[in-house]
Order: sequence, then structure tokens, then C-alpha cells
Amino acid sequence: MRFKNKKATFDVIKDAVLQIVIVGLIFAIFLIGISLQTHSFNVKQQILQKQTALMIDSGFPGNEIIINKKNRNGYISELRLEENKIFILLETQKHSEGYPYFSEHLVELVELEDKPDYYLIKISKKQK
Amino acid sequence: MKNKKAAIDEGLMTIYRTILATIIAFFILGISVFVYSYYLDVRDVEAAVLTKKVVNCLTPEGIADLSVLENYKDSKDFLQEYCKIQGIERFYVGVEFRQDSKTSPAGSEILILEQGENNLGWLVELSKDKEATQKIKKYVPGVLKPFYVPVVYNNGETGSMIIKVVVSSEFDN
Repeated sequence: MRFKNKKATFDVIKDAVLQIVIVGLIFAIFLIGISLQTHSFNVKQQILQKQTALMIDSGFPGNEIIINKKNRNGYISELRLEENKIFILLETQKHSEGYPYFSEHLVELVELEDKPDYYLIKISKKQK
Repeated sequence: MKNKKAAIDEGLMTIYRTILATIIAFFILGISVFVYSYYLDVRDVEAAVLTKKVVNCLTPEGIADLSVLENYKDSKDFLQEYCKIQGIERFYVGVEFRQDSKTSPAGSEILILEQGENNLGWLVELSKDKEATQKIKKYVPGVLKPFYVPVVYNNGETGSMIIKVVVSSEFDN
């Protein structure tokens, strides 16, 4: 009889622990999701991509756009120009749909060896 | 037997509580996604920038060389071919050259150049509907604004240029 009670108690504890672990996991995922949302990285990414795209749109040959990686919108972990689109990734972001820009000029992303904390976008005349 | 039933009941309660916790968590997450997401619309600015580029390209120093521009009458990519502007797949640009209404009472059109799809006009009209939801609005094209720029044609006559620019959302391409 004593043994039976002990086993029952163990089962109850086991169930309770299992429940706590499962609910804990769900809330951990929930809190991570909430944290990512409240940081508004998607909105900040939009701001940076669209601001830069508009600067490229209205840029003239000879213009240079310098962007600090340590930005007020967060740390820019990646910036690239592909097929007339600008892609900016912030902090731990892994994906960007990119934002399209238009220009009749040559738009290039230049690596600055002496300033690794900056991105340089150079607008120059297209070679005929 | 009783113990077995109790164990099954306890198991069912565990599943029920887990599902309930999941539903509550995802419901709150869903609300936060809705509250914290925001669509920044810069298409009006893009349309204005492109209009300026088109004006500078077609009428440098205010003079439109219609003898050259007429070659692009049937072109569907005149901005790429004549102005060399790349990345304007989202845009509809329509340019209409008209004669001066003083010299020609009707202000008759001389030349029309078009680029892109002009089938998004109905969405612009829909967006004027106050009941159109915020969700639909981000798919609505940017602007449909005519711009009137007085121009002098290369033969010395004067007239005007009407430009229409429609910018669809980045989700359409």
C-alpha cells in the first residue's frame, strides 16, 4: 500500500513536471516571438531599405551614399544590391524581400577597407 | 481499472491544458504581429522622382525633339531604350505631348509614349473608398497624377507634356 502511494505521487510529479516543461517551451517560443515583434526589426528594415532606395533613385553621377553599420535602426549585418533591388539585414535577421530602386546610372556597393564599419554606395555614369 | 481511467483522464487534461496554452500564446503573438507591423508607403515620392527624371530626359532644357521621340511611339520600353532607366517594372508611365491650345483650339495630341501596365487604375479608384481596409491599401498603386510641363518642340512650336505615373506595390513583382 505504501509502495502504491509512492508510485502515485511519483506519477503526479512526473505529469506536473512534463506539463511545466511543455508549457514553458510554448511560452519561450511565444516570448521570443513577442520580443522580435516589439523590436520592430521588420519596420526598421523597411525604413532603411526604402530610404536608401529613394536616395539611389534621386542620385546623380558622383553621389556617394555612406551608411553606418551601427545605425540608429539597429546593427546592419548585411547590405547588398542585386538586380535593381536593395537588401538590408538587421541584427539577427536572415531574410529580406528587398526593395526595388530605379536608376539610369551605374549603382555599385563599394567595400571600404579603411572603414569596415561603413557601407558605401557609389553612383557613377554608365560606360557607353 | 479505476487507476487506469484516472491516468487516461489526467493524460487528456494534460493535452487539453497544453493546447489551451498554445492557443492563448499564439493568439497574443498574432495580436502583437498585427499591432507592431507597419507598411511604409513611399510610392508617391518614387512617382515624383521618376516624373522629374522623365521630364529631364524627354525635354532637356525644355525642348522636346519630337523627330527623335516619334521613333519610340510603338515601343513598350521607351524609358529603358531612350532614357536608359533600369528597374521600373513596377511603374506605368504615360507621356502625352499636346499642341498649345492657343495655336490649336483643341490642344490636340501630337505624340503618346507609354511604358508598363496601365491596368491598375481601378485599384486607385477602390482606394478612394473609405471602407477599403488597411490590408488592401498596401496593394494599391502609388499615384495617378498628371503633371503638366510646358515644352517647346524642336520645330519652334509650343505645347505641353502630360505625364501619368502609376506605381504598383513591391509585392506585385
